[in-house]
Amino acid sequence: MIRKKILLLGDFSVGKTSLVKRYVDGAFDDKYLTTIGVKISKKLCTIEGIECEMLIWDIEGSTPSKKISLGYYRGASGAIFVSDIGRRETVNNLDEHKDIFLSENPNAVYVTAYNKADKLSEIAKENIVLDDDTFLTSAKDDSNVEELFMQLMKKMLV
Amino acid sequence: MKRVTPAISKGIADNKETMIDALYPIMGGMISKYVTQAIKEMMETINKKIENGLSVENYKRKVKAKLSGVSETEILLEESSSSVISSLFVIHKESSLLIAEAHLEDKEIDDAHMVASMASAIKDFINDWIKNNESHNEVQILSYGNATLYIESAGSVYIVAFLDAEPDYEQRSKINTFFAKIVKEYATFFQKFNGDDSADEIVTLSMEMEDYLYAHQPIAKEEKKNPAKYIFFFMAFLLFGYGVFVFNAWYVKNGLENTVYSQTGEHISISSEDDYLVLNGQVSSTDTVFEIEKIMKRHSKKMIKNHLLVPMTYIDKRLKDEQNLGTSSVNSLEKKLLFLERNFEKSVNGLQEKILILTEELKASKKHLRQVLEKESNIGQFKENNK
Repeated sequence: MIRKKILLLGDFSVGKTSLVKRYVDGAFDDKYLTTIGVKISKKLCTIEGIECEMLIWDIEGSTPSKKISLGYYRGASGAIFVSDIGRRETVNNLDEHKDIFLSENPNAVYVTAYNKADKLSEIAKENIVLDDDTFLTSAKDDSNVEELFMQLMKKMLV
Repeated sequence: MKRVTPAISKGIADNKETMIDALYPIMGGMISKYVTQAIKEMMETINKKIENGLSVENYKRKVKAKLSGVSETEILLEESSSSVISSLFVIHKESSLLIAEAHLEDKEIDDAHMVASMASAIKDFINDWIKNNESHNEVQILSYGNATLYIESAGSVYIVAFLDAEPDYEQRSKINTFFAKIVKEYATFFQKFNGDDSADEIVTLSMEMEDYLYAHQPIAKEEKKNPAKYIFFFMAFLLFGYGVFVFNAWYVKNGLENTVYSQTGEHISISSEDDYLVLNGQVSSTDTVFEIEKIMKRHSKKMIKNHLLVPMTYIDKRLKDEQNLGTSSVNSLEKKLLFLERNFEKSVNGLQEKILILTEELKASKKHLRQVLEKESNIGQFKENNK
Protein backbone atom coordinates (compact mmCIF):
# COMPACT_ATOMS: atom_id res chain seq x y z
CA MET A 1 0.00 0.00 0.00
CA ILE A 2 1.14 3.52 -0.80
CA ARG A 3 0.52 6.22 1.80
CA LYS A 4 0.64 9.91 1.04
CA LYS A 5 0.32 13.03 3.13
CA ILE A 6 -1.91 15.65 1.56
CA LEU A 7 -2.89 19.09 2.80
CA LEU A 8 -6.03 21.17 2.44
CA LEU A 9 -5.06 24.81 2.34
CA GLY A 10 -6.99 28.01 1.92
CA ASP A 11 -8.53 30.99 3.69
CA PHE A 12 -10.92 30.79 6.63
CA SER A 13 -14.40 29.42 6.05
CA VAL A 14 -13.92 28.29 2.46
CA GLY A 15 -15.19 24.76 3.24
CA LYS A 16 -12.00 22.73 3.64
CA THR A 17 -13.34 20.71 6.58
CA SER A 18 -16.67 20.17 4.78
CA LEU A 19 -14.88 18.78 1.72
CA VAL A 20 -12.92 16.33 3.89
CA LYS A 21 -16.07 15.34 5.79
CA ARG A 22 -17.93 14.75 2.55
CA TYR A 23 -15.09 12.71 1.03
CA VAL A 24 -14.20 10.67 4.10
CA ASP A 25 -17.56 10.29 5.87
CA GLY A 26 -19.97 11.03 3.00
CA ALA A 27 -21.70 13.63 5.19
CA PHE A 28 -22.34 17.37 5.30
CA ASP A 29 -23.14 19.75 8.15
CA ASP A 30 -23.83 23.41 7.39
CA LYS A 31 -22.88 24.52 10.92
CA TYR A 32 -19.57 26.34 10.77
CA LEU A 33 -16.94 25.28 13.29
CA THR A 34 -13.56 26.81 12.75
CA THR A 35 -10.65 24.38 12.71
CA ILE A 36 -7.96 25.02 15.26
CA GLY A 37 -4.52 23.72 14.36
CA VAL A 38 -5.02 20.64 12.23
CA LYS A 39 -7.44 17.75 11.94
CA ILE A 40 -6.16 14.58 10.34
CA SER A 41 -8.33 12.07 8.50
CA LYS A 42 -7.54 9.12 6.30
CA LYS A 43 -9.14 7.62 3.25
CA LEU A 44 -8.45 4.41 1.37
CA CYS A 45 -8.75 4.35 -2.37
CA THR A 46 -7.67 2.24 -5.32
CA ILE A 47 -6.31 3.87 -8.46
CA GLU A 48 -5.46 1.74 -11.48
CA GLY A 49 -5.14 -1.32 -9.26
CA ILE A 50 -2.87 0.38 -6.74
CA GLU A 51 -4.13 0.50 -3.20
CA CYS A 52 -3.54 3.89 -1.65
CA GLU A 53 -4.22 5.63 1.62
CA MET A 54 -4.45 9.40 1.89
CA LEU A 55 -3.62 11.01 5.19
CA ILE A 56 -5.51 14.22 4.85
CA TRP A 57 -4.29 17.17 6.93
CA ASP A 58 -7.16 19.62 7.18
CA ILE A 59 -5.27 22.69 8.28
CA GLU A 60 -6.81 25.75 9.90
CA GLY A 61 -7.58 28.61 7.60
CA SER A 62 -4.90 31.20 7.09
CA THR A 63 -4.58 34.66 5.58
CA PRO A 64 -1.55 36.80 4.78
CA SER A 65 -1.87 38.31 8.24
CA LYS A 66 -2.15 34.96 10.01
CA LYS A 67 0.39 32.36 9.03
CA ILE A 68 0.25 28.72 10.05
CA SER A 69 3.01 26.48 11.34
CA LEU A 70 5.35 25.50 8.51
CA GLY A 71 5.84 22.15 10.21
CA TYR A 72 2.43 21.12 8.88
CA TYR A 73 3.56 21.65 5.27
CA ARG A 74 6.65 19.51 5.58
CA GLY A 75 6.72 16.23 3.69
CA ALA A 76 3.37 16.60 1.95
CA SER A 77 3.15 14.90 -1.42
CA GLY A 78 0.16 16.92 -2.54
CA ALA A 79 -2.22 19.70 -1.66
CA ILE A 80 -5.75 20.83 -2.40
CA PHE A 81 -6.08 24.61 -2.49
CA VAL A 82 -9.61 25.59 -1.60
CA SER A 83 -11.39 28.89 -2.14
CA ASP A 84 -14.98 30.05 -1.80
CA ILE A 85 -16.22 30.83 -5.30
CA GLY A 86 -18.55 33.39 -3.80
CA ARG A 87 -15.71 35.33 -2.09
CA ARG A 88 -13.31 36.88 -4.57
CA GLU A 89 -10.50 37.52 -2.04
CA THR A 90 -10.31 33.82 -1.15
CA VAL A 91 -9.70 33.04 -4.83
CA ASN A 92 -7.09 35.79 -5.08
CA ASN A 93 -5.23 34.46 -2.02
CA LEU A 94 -4.78 31.02 -3.60
CA ASP A 95 -1.54 32.04 -5.29
CA GLU A 96 0.00 33.00 -1.99
CA HIS A 97 -1.02 29.66 -0.42
CA LYS A 98 0.53 27.87 -3.41
CA ASP A 99 3.78 29.81 -3.11
CA ILE A 100 4.22 28.98 0.56
CA PHE A 101 3.38 25.33 -0.04
CA LEU A 102 5.71 24.93 -3.03
CA SER A 103 8.55 26.68 -1.25
CA GLU A 104 8.41 23.92 1.38
CA ASN A 105 7.63 21.07 -1.05
CA PRO A 106 9.00 21.96 -4.48
CA ASN A 107 8.29 18.50 -5.92
CA ALA A 108 4.73 18.21 -4.64
CA VAL A 109 1.62 18.31 -6.83
CA TYR A 110 -1.68 20.09 -6.25
CA VAL A 111 -5.24 20.60 -7.43
CA THR A 112 -7.57 23.54 -6.89
CA ALA A 113 -11.14 23.64 -5.70
CA TYR A 114 -13.59 26.52 -6.20
CA ASN A 115 -15.91 25.43 -3.46
CA LYS A 116 -19.50 26.25 -2.53
CA ALA A 117 -20.47 25.92 -6.21
CA ASP A 118 -24.03 25.14 -5.07
CA LYS A 119 -24.46 28.89 -4.61
CA LEU A 120 -23.79 29.55 -8.31
CA SER A 121 -26.41 29.51 -11.01
CA GLU A 122 -26.02 27.02 -13.81
CA ILE A 123 -25.25 29.86 -16.24
CA ALA A 124 -22.48 31.19 -14.00
CA LYS A 125 -20.99 27.69 -13.74
CA GLU A 126 -20.93 27.34 -17.52
CA ASN A 127 -19.00 30.60 -17.87
CA ILE A 128 -16.16 29.50 -15.61
CA VAL A 129 -13.20 28.04 -17.52
CA LEU A 130 -11.47 25.18 -15.73
CA ASP A 131 -8.38 23.05 -16.46
CA ASP A 132 -7.92 19.37 -15.51
CA ASP A 133 -6.58 20.26 -12.07
CA THR A 134 -9.26 22.74 -11.11
CA PHE A 135 -12.73 21.79 -9.95
CA LEU A 136 -15.99 23.52 -9.13
CA THR A 137 -16.93 21.65 -5.99
CA SER A 138 -19.76 21.56 -3.50
CA ALA A 139 -19.53 19.58 -0.29
CA LYS A 140 -23.19 20.30 0.28
CA ASP A 141 -24.31 18.81 -3.06
CA ASP A 142 -21.48 16.27 -3.17
CA SER A 143 -20.40 17.72 -6.47
CA ASN A 144 -16.90 16.88 -7.85
CA VAL A 145 -15.55 16.06 -4.37
CA GLU A 146 -14.54 12.50 -5.20
CA GLU A 147 -13.09 13.65 -8.53
CA LEU A 148 -11.04 16.35 -6.79
CA PHE A 149 -9.30 13.93 -4.44
CA MET A 150 -8.88 11.21 -7.08
CA GLN A 151 -7.24 13.63 -9.48
CA LEU A 152 -4.75 14.63 -6.80
CA MET A 153 -3.99 10.99 -5.98
CA LYS A 154 -3.43 10.19 -9.66
CA LYS A 155 -1.01 13.09 -9.96
CA MET A 156 0.87 11.94 -6.86
CA LEU A 157 1.27 8.41 -8.25
CA VAL A 158 2.64 9.53 -11.61
CA MET B 1 42.73 21.69 5.03
CA LYS B 2 41.39 25.06 4.07
CA ARG B 3 39.93 23.53 0.90
CA VAL B 4 38.52 20.49 2.63
CA THR B 5 36.77 22.27 5.50
CA PRO B 6 34.36 24.31 3.32
CA ALA B 7 33.63 21.15 1.33
CA ILE B 8 32.67 19.31 4.52
CA SER B 9 30.61 22.28 5.67
CA LYS B 10 28.78 22.36 2.36
CA GLY B 11 28.32 18.59 2.45
CA ILE B 12 26.77 18.83 5.90
CA ALA B 13 24.61 21.78 4.88
CA ASP B 14 23.32 19.95 1.80
CA ASN B 15 22.73 16.61 3.54
CA LYS B 16 21.97 17.67 7.07
CA GLU B 17 19.61 14.79 7.84
CA THR B 18 21.95 12.17 6.37
CA MET B 19 24.71 13.51 8.59
CA ILE B 20 22.47 13.43 11.65
CA ASP B 21 21.52 9.80 10.89
CA ALA B 22 25.20 8.90 10.61
CA LEU B 23 26.25 10.78 13.74
CA TYR B 24 23.30 10.02 16.00
CA PRO B 25 24.50 6.56 17.16
CA ILE B 26 27.95 8.04 18.01
CA MET B 27 26.80 11.34 19.49
CA GLY B 28 24.09 9.55 21.45
CA GLY B 29 26.77 7.47 23.22
CA MET B 30 28.94 10.51 24.00
CA ILE B 31 26.06 12.51 25.36
CA SER B 32 24.98 9.46 27.30
CA LYS B 33 28.39 9.33 29.08
CA TYR B 34 28.12 12.92 30.24
CA VAL B 35 24.54 12.45 31.29
CA THR B 36 25.53 9.29 33.19
CA GLN B 37 28.15 11.25 35.11
CA ALA B 38 25.63 13.96 35.92
CA ILE B 39 23.14 11.35 37.09
CA LYS B 40 25.79 9.74 39.32
CA GLU B 41 26.43 13.05 41.02
CA MET B 42 22.73 13.59 41.42
CA MET B 43 22.35 10.12 42.96
CA GLU B 44 25.10 10.83 45.47
CA THR B 45 23.32 14.00 46.49
CA ILE B 46 20.04 12.13 46.84
CA ASN B 47 21.81 9.41 48.85
CA LYS B 48 23.01 12.00 51.35
CA LYS B 49 19.53 13.40 51.66
CA ILE B 50 18.07 9.95 52.20
CA GLU B 51 20.64 9.14 54.88
CA ASN B 52 19.51 12.17 56.82
CA GLY B 53 15.80 11.43 56.41
CA LEU B 54 13.76 9.80 59.18
CA SER B 55 10.68 7.74 58.39
CA VAL B 56 9.49 4.14 58.52
CA GLU B 57 9.74 3.90 54.73
CA ASN B 58 13.31 5.17 54.88
CA TYR B 59 14.26 2.50 57.38
CA LYS B 60 12.54 -0.18 55.29
CA ARG B 61 14.49 1.02 52.27
CA LYS B 62 17.71 1.02 54.28
CA VAL B 63 17.14 -2.61 55.34
CA LYS B 64 16.31 -3.60 51.75
CA ALA B 65 19.44 -1.83 50.50
CA LYS B 66 21.63 -3.62 53.08
CA LEU B 67 20.14 -7.01 52.25
CA SER B 68 20.25 -6.64 48.48
CA GLY B 69 23.50 -4.70 48.20
CA VAL B 70 21.79 -2.11 45.96
CA SER B 71 22.02 1.58 46.82
CA GLU B 72 19.00 3.26 48.37
CA THR B 73 18.72 5.69 45.49
CA GLU B 74 18.47 2.92 42.97
CA ILE B 75 15.76 1.28 45.06
CA LEU B 76 14.01 4.64 45.31
CA LEU B 77 14.20 5.12 41.56
CA GLU B 78 13.08 1.55 40.96
CA GLU B 79 10.12 2.06 43.29
CA SER B 80 9.11 5.24 41.53
CA SER B 81 9.54 3.69 38.09
CA SER B 82 6.38 1.96 37.00
CA SER B 83 6.16 2.69 33.30
CA VAL B 84 5.52 -0.02 30.75
CA ILE B 85 6.14 0.51 27.04
CA SER B 86 3.06 -0.80 25.28
CA SER B 87 3.77 0.39 21.73
CA LEU B 88 6.56 1.71 19.59
CA PHE B 89 6.27 3.80 16.41
CA VAL B 90 8.94 4.78 13.95
CA ILE B 91 7.71 7.83 12.07
CA HIS B 92 9.12 9.44 8.95
CA LYS B 93 10.06 12.94 10.01
CA GLU B 94 9.53 14.59 6.65
CA SER B 95 6.07 13.28 5.86
CA SER B 96 4.92 12.29 9.36
CA LEU B 97 3.98 8.90 7.90
CA LEU B 98 4.23 5.84 10.11
CA ILE B 99 7.01 3.58 8.85
CA ALA B 100 6.77 0.75 11.37
CA GLU B 101 4.88 -0.06 14.54
CA ALA B 102 4.98 -2.72 17.26
CA HIS B 103 2.65 -3.40 20.18
CA LEU B 104 2.34 -5.65 23.16
CA GLU B 105 -0.46 -8.18 22.95
CA ASP B 106 -3.91 -6.52 23.36
CA LYS B 107 -2.30 -3.08 23.25
CA GLU B 108 -2.80 -2.37 19.55
CA ILE B 109 -3.56 1.26 18.73
CA ASP B 110 -6.53 1.89 16.44
CA ASP B 111 -5.79 4.13 13.46
CA ALA B 112 -2.08 3.99 14.17
CA HIS B 113 -1.32 6.02 11.03
CA MET B 114 -3.60 8.82 12.11
CA VAL B 115 -2.21 8.76 15.62
CA ALA B 116 1.30 8.96 14.21
CA SER B 117 0.35 11.91 12.02
CA MET B 118 -1.45 13.66 14.86
CA ALA B 119 1.48 13.13 17.25
CA SER B 120 3.72 14.59 14.57
CA ALA B 121 1.42 17.55 14.10
CA ILE B 122 1.36 18.28 17.82
CA LYS B 123 5.12 17.87 18.02
CA ASP B 124 5.68 20.12 14.98
CA PHE B 125 3.33 22.75 16.35
CA ILE B 126 5.06 22.83 19.74
CA ASN B 127 8.51 22.78 18.15
CA ASP B 128 7.62 25.71 15.91
CA TRP B 129 6.19 27.62 18.84
CA ILE B 130 9.23 26.92 21.03
CA LYS B 131 11.65 27.90 18.26
CA ASN B 132 9.84 31.21 18.04
CA ASN B 133 10.47 31.55 21.75
CA GLU B 134 14.24 31.35 21.58
CA SER B 135 14.92 27.70 22.23
CA HIS B 136 16.18 24.87 20.06
CA ASN B 137 15.07 21.79 21.95
CA GLU B 138 12.60 19.26 20.64
CA VAL B 139 9.46 17.96 22.30
CA GLN B 140 10.31 14.75 24.13
CA ILE B 141 7.31 14.01 26.31
CA LEU B 142 3.62 14.31 25.50
CA SER B 143 1.44 13.34 28.40
CA TYR B 144 -2.28 12.97 28.97
CA GLY B 145 -3.35 11.42 32.25
CA ASN B 146 -1.47 8.14 32.55
CA ALA B 147 -0.74 7.96 28.83
CA THR B 148 2.70 9.25 27.95
CA LEU B 149 4.41 9.51 24.59
CA TYR B 150 8.18 9.60 24.73
CA ILE B 151 9.63 11.04 21.51
CA GLU B 152 13.26 10.73 20.45
CA SER B 153 14.29 12.30 17.20
CA ALA B 154 17.11 11.60 14.75
CA GLY B 155 17.75 12.95 11.25
CA SER B 156 14.99 11.52 9.08
CA VAL B 157 12.88 9.61 11.59
CA TYR B 158 11.75 9.72 15.15
CA ILE B 159 10.65 7.03 17.52
CA VAL B 160 7.57 7.32 19.71
CA ALA B 161 7.22 5.08 22.76
CA PHE B 162 3.76 4.80 24.30
CA LEU B 163 3.97 4.34 28.06
CA ASP B 164 1.61 4.29 31.02
CA ALA B 165 3.82 6.69 32.99
CA GLU B 166 6.71 9.00 32.36
CA PRO B 167 9.85 6.95 31.60
CA ASP B 168 12.75 7.12 34.01
CA TYR B 169 16.35 7.80 33.03
CA GLU B 170 17.15 4.11 32.58
CA GLN B 171 14.17 3.53 30.29
CA ARG B 172 14.96 6.60 28.22
CA SER B 173 18.52 5.46 27.92
CA LYS B 174 17.44 1.99 26.76
CA ILE B 175 14.97 3.39 24.22
CA ASN B 176 17.61 5.77 22.87
CA THR B 177 20.16 2.97 22.59
CA PHE B 178 17.67 0.83 20.70
CA PHE B 179 16.75 3.80 18.50
CA ALA B 180 20.41 4.48 17.72
CA LYS B 181 20.75 0.85 16.69
CA ILE B 182 17.82 0.93 14.24
CA VAL B 183 18.81 4.33 12.85
CA LYS B 184 22.24 2.91 12.09
CA GLU B 185 20.79 -0.26 10.61
CA TYR B 186 18.04 1.30 8.45
CA ALA B 187 19.44 4.80 7.74
CA THR B 188 19.38 4.36 3.96
CA PHE B 189 15.88 2.93 3.97
CA PHE B 190 14.58 5.77 6.16
CA GLN B 191 16.03 8.41 3.87
CA LYS B 192 14.42 6.85 0.79
CA PHE B 193 11.06 6.10 2.38
CA ASN B 194 8.21 7.26 0.11
CA GLY B 195 5.12 5.93 1.86
CA ASP B 196 5.29 2.42 0.35
CA ASP B 197 4.74 -0.04 3.17
CA SER B 198 5.50 -3.18 1.11
CA ALA B 199 9.26 -2.95 1.70
CA ASP B 200 10.91 -5.94 3.40
CA GLU B 201 12.74 -3.61 5.78
CA ILE B 202 9.43 -2.65 7.42
CA VAL B 203 8.75 -6.29 8.32
CA THR B 204 12.17 -6.86 9.86
CA LEU B 205 12.10 -3.50 11.62
CA SER B 206 8.67 -4.23 13.12
CA MET B 207 9.92 -7.60 14.36
CA GLU B 208 12.95 -5.98 15.99
CA MET B 209 10.70 -3.43 17.67
CA GLU B 210 8.35 -6.13 18.93
CA ASP B 211 11.28 -8.15 20.28
CA TYR B 212 12.46 -5.04 22.09
CA LEU B 213 9.03 -4.48 23.65
CA TYR B 214 8.78 -8.02 24.99
CA ALA B 215 12.42 -8.08 26.10
CA HIS B 216 11.87 -4.96 28.21
CA GLN B 217 8.58 -5.96 29.71
CA PRO B 218 8.73 -5.78 33.52
CA ILE B 219 7.21 -9.13 34.50
CA ALA B 220 6.69 -8.25 38.14
CA LYS B 221 4.46 -5.35 37.20
CA GLU B 222 1.88 -7.63 35.64
CA GLU B 223 1.36 -9.58 38.81
CA LYS B 224 -1.72 -8.43 40.64
CA LYS B 225 -1.26 -7.43 44.21
CA ASN B 226 -2.74 -10.14 46.39
CA PRO B 227 -3.02 -9.32 50.12
CA ALA B 228 -3.10 -13.04 51.03
CA LYS B 229 0.29 -13.44 49.38
CA TYR B 230 1.78 -10.69 51.55
CA ILE B 231 0.20 -12.20 54.70
CA PHE B 232 1.65 -15.57 53.72
CA PHE B 233 5.09 -14.06 53.21
CA PHE B 234 4.81 -12.19 56.50
CA MET B 235 3.88 -15.41 58.37
CA ALA B 236 6.64 -17.28 56.60
CA PHE B 237 9.05 -14.54 57.60
CA LEU B 238 7.95 -14.76 61.23
CA LEU B 239 8.26 -18.55 61.23
CA PHE B 240 11.66 -18.30 59.63
CA GLY B 241 12.77 -15.75 62.23
CA TYR B 242 11.51 -17.99 65.04
CA GLY B 243 13.24 -20.97 63.44
CA VAL B 244 16.51 -19.06 63.27
CA PHE B 245 16.13 -18.07 66.94
CA VAL B 246 15.43 -21.65 68.06
CA PHE B 247 18.23 -23.07 65.96
CA ASN B 248 20.67 -20.51 67.28
CA ALA B 249 19.72 -21.27 70.90
CA TRP B 250 20.03 -25.02 70.24
CA TYR B 251 23.38 -24.54 68.52
CA VAL B 252 24.81 -22.51 71.40
CA LYS B 253 23.43 -24.93 74.04
CA ASN B 254 24.69 -27.97 72.16
CA GLY B 255 28.11 -26.39 71.72
CA LEU B 256 28.40 -25.68 75.46
CA GLU B 257 27.28 -29.20 76.40
CA ASN B 258 29.90 -30.68 74.07
CA THR B 259 32.59 -28.41 75.50
CA VAL B 260 31.72 -29.49 79.06
CA TYR B 261 31.77 -33.16 78.05
CA SER B 262 35.10 -32.88 76.25
CA GLN B 263 36.75 -31.15 79.21
CA THR B 264 35.17 -33.01 82.15
CA GLY B 265 33.67 -36.17 80.73
CA GLU B 266 30.33 -35.24 82.32
CA HIS B 267 26.96 -35.15 80.47
CA ILE B 268 24.90 -32.18 81.59
CA SER B 269 21.91 -30.37 80.03
CA ILE B 270 21.81 -26.60 79.47
CA SER B 271 18.67 -24.51 79.00
CA SER B 272 18.01 -20.80 78.60
CA GLU B 273 15.87 -18.76 80.95
CA ASP B 274 15.69 -15.02 80.24
CA ASP B 275 19.27 -13.85 80.72
CA TYR B 276 20.39 -17.02 82.53
CA LEU B 277 21.87 -20.29 81.43
CA VAL B 278 20.47 -23.07 83.63
CA LEU B 279 22.71 -26.08 84.22
CA ASN B 280 20.97 -29.34 85.05
CA GLY B 281 22.17 -32.87 85.59
CA GLN B 282 24.24 -35.01 87.93
CA VAL B 283 27.98 -34.94 88.13
CA SER B 284 30.32 -37.17 90.02
CA SER B 285 31.95 -34.65 92.34
CA THR B 286 31.71 -31.18 93.79
CA ASP B 287 35.03 -30.33 92.12
CA THR B 288 33.46 -31.07 88.74
CA VAL B 289 30.56 -28.76 89.58
CA PHE B 290 32.94 -25.86 90.09
CA GLU B 291 34.98 -26.77 87.04
CA ILE B 292 31.86 -26.81 84.83
CA GLU B 293 30.86 -23.41 86.17
CA LYS B 294 34.28 -22.06 85.23
CA ILE B 295 33.92 -23.49 81.70
CA MET B 296 30.49 -21.87 81.30
CA LYS B 297 31.84 -18.49 82.37
CA ARG B 298 34.65 -18.76 79.84
CA HIS B 299 32.30 -19.58 76.93
CA SER B 300 29.19 -17.50 77.64
CA LYS B 301 28.50 -14.01 78.83
CA LYS B 302 25.16 -15.00 80.33
CA MET B 303 24.65 -15.41 84.04
CA ILE B 304 24.50 -18.95 85.34
CA LYS B 305 22.00 -20.83 87.46
CA ASN B 306 23.85 -23.92 88.61
CA HIS B 307 21.45 -26.77 89.41
CA LEU B 308 24.03 -29.52 89.07
CA LEU B 309 23.81 -32.32 91.67
CA VAL B 310 26.34 -34.71 93.13
CA PRO B 311 24.23 -37.73 94.33
CA MET B 312 25.07 -39.61 97.62
CA THR B 313 25.42 -42.82 95.67
CA TYR B 314 28.27 -41.23 93.82
CA ILE B 315 29.92 -40.21 97.15
CA ASP B 316 29.40 -43.71 98.70
CA LYS B 317 30.77 -45.31 95.61
CA ARG B 318 33.73 -43.01 95.65
CA LEU B 319 34.44 -43.71 99.33
CA LYS B 320 34.17 -47.43 98.75
CA ASP B 321 36.44 -47.13 95.77
CA GLU B 322 38.94 -45.20 97.86
CA GLN B 323 38.65 -47.81 100.68
CA ASN B 324 39.28 -50.65 98.28
CA LEU B 325 42.16 -48.77 96.84
CA GLY B 326 43.63 -48.25 100.39
CA THR B 327 43.18 -51.90 101.32
CA SER B 328 44.82 -53.10 98.18
CA SER B 329 47.66 -50.67 98.75
CA VAL B 330 48.18 -51.94 102.35
CA ASN B 331 48.15 -55.57 101.18
CA SER B 332 50.62 -54.80 98.55
CA LEU B 333 52.88 -53.04 101.03
CA GLU B 334 52.65 -55.96 103.48
CA LYS B 335 53.66 -58.39 100.76
CA LYS B 336 56.56 -56.22 99.85
CA LEU B 337 57.61 -55.96 103.53
CA LEU B 338 57.46 -59.73 103.95
CA PHE B 339 59.50 -60.17 100.84
CA LEU B 340 62.04 -57.70 102.17
CA GLU B 341 62.18 -59.45 105.56
CA ARG B 342 62.85 -62.78 103.88
CA ASN B 343 65.49 -61.28 101.72
CA PHE B 344 67.00 -59.68 104.80
CA GLU B 345 67.11 -62.97 106.69
CA LYS B 346 68.72 -64.67 103.73
CA SER B 347 71.25 -61.90 103.53
CA VAL B 348 72.02 -62.13 107.29
CA ASN B 349 72.49 -65.89 107.06
CA GLY B 350 74.76 -65.47 104.10
CA LEU B 351 76.79 -62.89 105.94
CA GLN B 352 77.14 -65.08 109.03
CA GLU B 353 78.41 -67.92 106.87
CA LYS B 354 80.82 -65.57 105.19
CA ILE B 355 81.98 -64.30 108.64
CA LEU B 356 82.65 -67.90 109.78
CA ILE B 357 84.56 -68.60 106.60
CA LEU B 358 86.53 -65.42 107.01
CA THR B 359 87.18 -66.23 110.72
CA GLU B 360 88.51 -69.68 109.74
CA GLU B 361 90.60 -68.13 107.03
CA LEU B 362 91.89 -65.56 109.53
CA LYS B 363 92.87 -68.34 111.99
CA ALA B 364 94.65 -70.19 109.21
CA SER B 365 96.47 -67.00 108.20
CA LYS B 366 97.56 -66.31 111.81
CA LYS B 367 98.83 -69.86 112.12
CA HIS B 368 100.69 -69.50 108.88
CA LEU B 369 102.16 -66.19 110.08
CA ARG B 370 103.38 -67.75 113.34
CA GLN B 371 105.01 -70.51 111.38
CA VAL B 372 106.72 -67.94 109.13
CA LEU B 373 107.88 -65.98 112.17
CA GLU B 374 109.19 -69.13 113.81
CA LYS B 375 111.03 -69.97 110.64
CA GLU B 376 112.58 -66.49 110.52
CA SER B 377 113.73 -66.74 114.16
CA ASN B 378 115.15 -70.15 113.48
CA ILE B 379 116.99 -68.79 110.46
CA GLY B 380 118.34 -65.87 112.68
CA GLN B 381 119.60 -68.20 115.32
CA PHE B 382 121.20 -70.31 112.69
CA LYS B 383 123.02 -67.32 111.21
CA GLU B 384 124.40 -66.22 114.70
CA ASN B 385 125.50 -69.62 115.44
CA ASN B 386 127.39 -69.77 112.21
CA LYS B 387 129.23 -66.48 112.96
